[in-house]
Amino acid sequence: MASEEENRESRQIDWSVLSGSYVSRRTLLKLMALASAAGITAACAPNAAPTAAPPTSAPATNIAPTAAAAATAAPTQAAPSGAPKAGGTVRIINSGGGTNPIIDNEVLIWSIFDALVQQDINADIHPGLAERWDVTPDGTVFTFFLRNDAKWTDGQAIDADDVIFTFNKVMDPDVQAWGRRWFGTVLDKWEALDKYTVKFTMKQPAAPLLDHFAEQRIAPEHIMGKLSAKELNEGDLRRNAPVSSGPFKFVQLVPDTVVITQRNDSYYMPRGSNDYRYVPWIKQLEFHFWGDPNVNLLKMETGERDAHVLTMTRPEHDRLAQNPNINIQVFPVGIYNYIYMNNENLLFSDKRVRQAIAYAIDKKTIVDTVLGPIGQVQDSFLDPADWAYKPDVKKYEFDPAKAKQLLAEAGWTAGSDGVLTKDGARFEFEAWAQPQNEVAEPIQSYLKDVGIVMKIRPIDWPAIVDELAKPNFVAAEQNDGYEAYPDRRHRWHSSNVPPKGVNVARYKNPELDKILDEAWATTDRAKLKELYWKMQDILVEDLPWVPIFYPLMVQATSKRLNGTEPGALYFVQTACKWWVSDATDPEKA
Amino acid sequence: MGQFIIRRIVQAIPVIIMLSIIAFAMFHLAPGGPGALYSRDLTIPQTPEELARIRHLYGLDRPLPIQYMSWVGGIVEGDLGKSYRNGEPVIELLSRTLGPTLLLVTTSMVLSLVIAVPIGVLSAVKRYGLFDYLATSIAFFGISIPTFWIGLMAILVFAVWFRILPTTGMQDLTTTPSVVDTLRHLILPATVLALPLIGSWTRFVRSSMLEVMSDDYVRTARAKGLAERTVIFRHALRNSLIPLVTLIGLTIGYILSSSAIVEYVFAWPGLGQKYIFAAVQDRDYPVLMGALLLVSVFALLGSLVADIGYALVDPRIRVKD
Repeated sequence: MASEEENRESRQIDWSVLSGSYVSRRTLLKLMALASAAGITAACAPNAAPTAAPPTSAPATNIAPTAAAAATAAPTQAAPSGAPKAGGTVRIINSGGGTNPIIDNEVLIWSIFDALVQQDINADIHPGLAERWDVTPDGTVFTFFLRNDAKWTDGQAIDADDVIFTFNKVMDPDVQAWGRRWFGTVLDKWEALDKYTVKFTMKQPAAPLLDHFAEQRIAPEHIMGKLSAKELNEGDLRRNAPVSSGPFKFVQLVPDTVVITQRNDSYYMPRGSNDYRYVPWIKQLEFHFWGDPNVNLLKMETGERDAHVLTMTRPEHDRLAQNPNINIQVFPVGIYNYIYMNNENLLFSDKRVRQAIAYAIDKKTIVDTVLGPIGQVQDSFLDPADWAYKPDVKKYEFDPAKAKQLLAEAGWTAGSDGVLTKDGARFEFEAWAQPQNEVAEPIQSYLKDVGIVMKIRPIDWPAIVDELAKPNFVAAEQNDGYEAYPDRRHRWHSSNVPPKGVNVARYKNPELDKILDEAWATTDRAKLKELYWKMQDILVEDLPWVPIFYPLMVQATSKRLNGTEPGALYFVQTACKWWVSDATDPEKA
Repeated sequence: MGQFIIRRIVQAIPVIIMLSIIAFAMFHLAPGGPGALYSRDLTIPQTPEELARIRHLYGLDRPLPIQYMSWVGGIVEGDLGKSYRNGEPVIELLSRTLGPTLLLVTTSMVLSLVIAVPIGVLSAVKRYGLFDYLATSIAFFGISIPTFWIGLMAILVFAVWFRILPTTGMQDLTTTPSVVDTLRHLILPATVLALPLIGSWTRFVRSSMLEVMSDDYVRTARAKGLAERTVIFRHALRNSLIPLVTLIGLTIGYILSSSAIVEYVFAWPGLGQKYIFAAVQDRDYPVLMGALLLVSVFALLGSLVADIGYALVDPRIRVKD
């Protein structure tokens, strides 16, 4: 029937709307363009796009070489207004981590559990659960004398049983104990001499282990004693800590949202008994899940969060720095950035080549242009905040001519396309770098100038961890560190070459081995400093990796939060000293 | 009808199995593994021996098909495994995150319906007019604008500049949970999630409406002398919404995944946010597989709902079937 055809026609979609006769397409497009332009202008108004904010004249990085003097870096810091007051809640942006001190070891654990000894922000060791300790001068026997008044939050005494239990599990290969990484190869025996004395015997001199004793929190034997390895690894106590020993106690974990902890009023070290760890002033400490970085900035601006502390990107730093309600501190804390190289690879086995790479790169320009206030040129293998840092080491100033000369000496000649060749092989390699790595590309272009082709392969953190462990590892551009102490045996001793250890560079130097071994057998700080200075000179001369810059820790805190100290590697290390200016009535606190 | 549903469910099972195999392969073949969870940033660099041990502990050194069958075996016993991050049983994780995600997603869809249908109808009725062009522009805006960016802008404007709405999260933890509090937190994420839906549904309703309005029976209704209002709302509208039912059903299918970005930006404690972290930070395979299973079930449920809904709403289909 005729109507069917008519129907079909009328059913067709009327495309003429776009080029319609009533409002012409041109007008429509003009309208849309206007609308989007208006939208974009509004969005690009100052402060509108968090990550697009242009770098302001950020506070100059007069980073002092010592941790204590690092406070001069921030002109926006307000002087604490008055004396500390008890009470109040502090909300920090940090997921906190798990709650089992044997398995987990992050900021939450450090706040709610205690270790045998405590480290302050200068890496000095102080009494913790042990009121005193004894280390033989060669570092083979550690004896800890526990206090007899330390109690768990449920009232039970903390004694040698808990310590023995903790280390039983640390050394148990079925338990995913983080501590086994450090204690596993050296701890021989651990025994309770009496109710409050524990003796650790090492298989070899292990003086630096004291730093790790300061990290290994003690777990409650009466709560966890009966659990199997599987239950410890994945049981409920990974998300729940009903019994703890630290200045804060676990209250509640809201999954993917926050961990709430509160002051432990019966903490065994009262206020005034020392100046590094005691009953805190604040009433409640909340660890808020990390979430999106841009949203974190906004939450700092609304005042919903009191602290945002990490090695943040430059736009993040700049945006927080220009906010009058936020205090910013920037300081080095034992984080590094290197070009990782496998020294056994034919490309990198010649020291002159590695030195040439260092000369070829203009670190100062990279730091000034790309990183600005959040980075500092790195020449050495320890950082300025470390007590064993040697300020005057050999520097590889930007000198492409010298680089080319060294490469020529090592047998590399430029091919027709400018790329260096030797025995038919081109100087071409692939370096892994995380996607957010901003210095990899400038490095690539500097290397290109001297005839080295570095290809960048972006892969994310979980993948890099795996790749670094592979036997065919070549190179990477990657951070390293978060070390609070100068011991570097795991990275540079020849016995720690993969797969046994993490000497990823496969660096083997008998002279350095001797120094590292000696350092492990020395507890005298003056002697250690001498040894570590020698270590730095050797590493800087041999350059198994090329140091580029120190990522600086940016500590952004709200104005109401007082008592924070710059230089703390782990921000909550000083949580006991914090207080808030709007604290409530101390009686009710 | 019952037979139809059962048949569809039976048909869905091989699809879910196939989806799970493909996803399992992709998750595991991507570089990296849970070793990074134990490296705590960079302070505890894991030795290759340790990493191998960790892989062995999680059974990741077994051949992939064996790992897959082991996972399937677990499902049969009701065990979806435990999160690599902190040992939380995946079933618990899914059940606690599904609620917030469903709340968010349902609210978005309802919001979209409530906005898109009237605007679409009005656009169609007054087509080529100013309203139509404005609506079209806004629709394109909604479809094109990146969710991530508009989410951040929304937080910036409403929570930071004007402080009338909370920034993120589902509840204010300092007060006792209340419906009003949750609703306040729901407004921004639900609206942001709804924007692309509103955009495409408006256009869809509009064109569906235009098509229906030129049908015979509409012409007949007008010829009968009915008021234009009655013609539109009593006759045309209902029929134009039939295809929308299909669209809604299909949206149920993919909204669970597209809500991931919104959940991430707004720190909404739902499945999408967990999915992102489990994949990117942790390589948390049990969580990823569990979430994938749930999302697949939803996708297929969505298309089932679309088909049933369509049959319910359109008698012609029922008769044929």
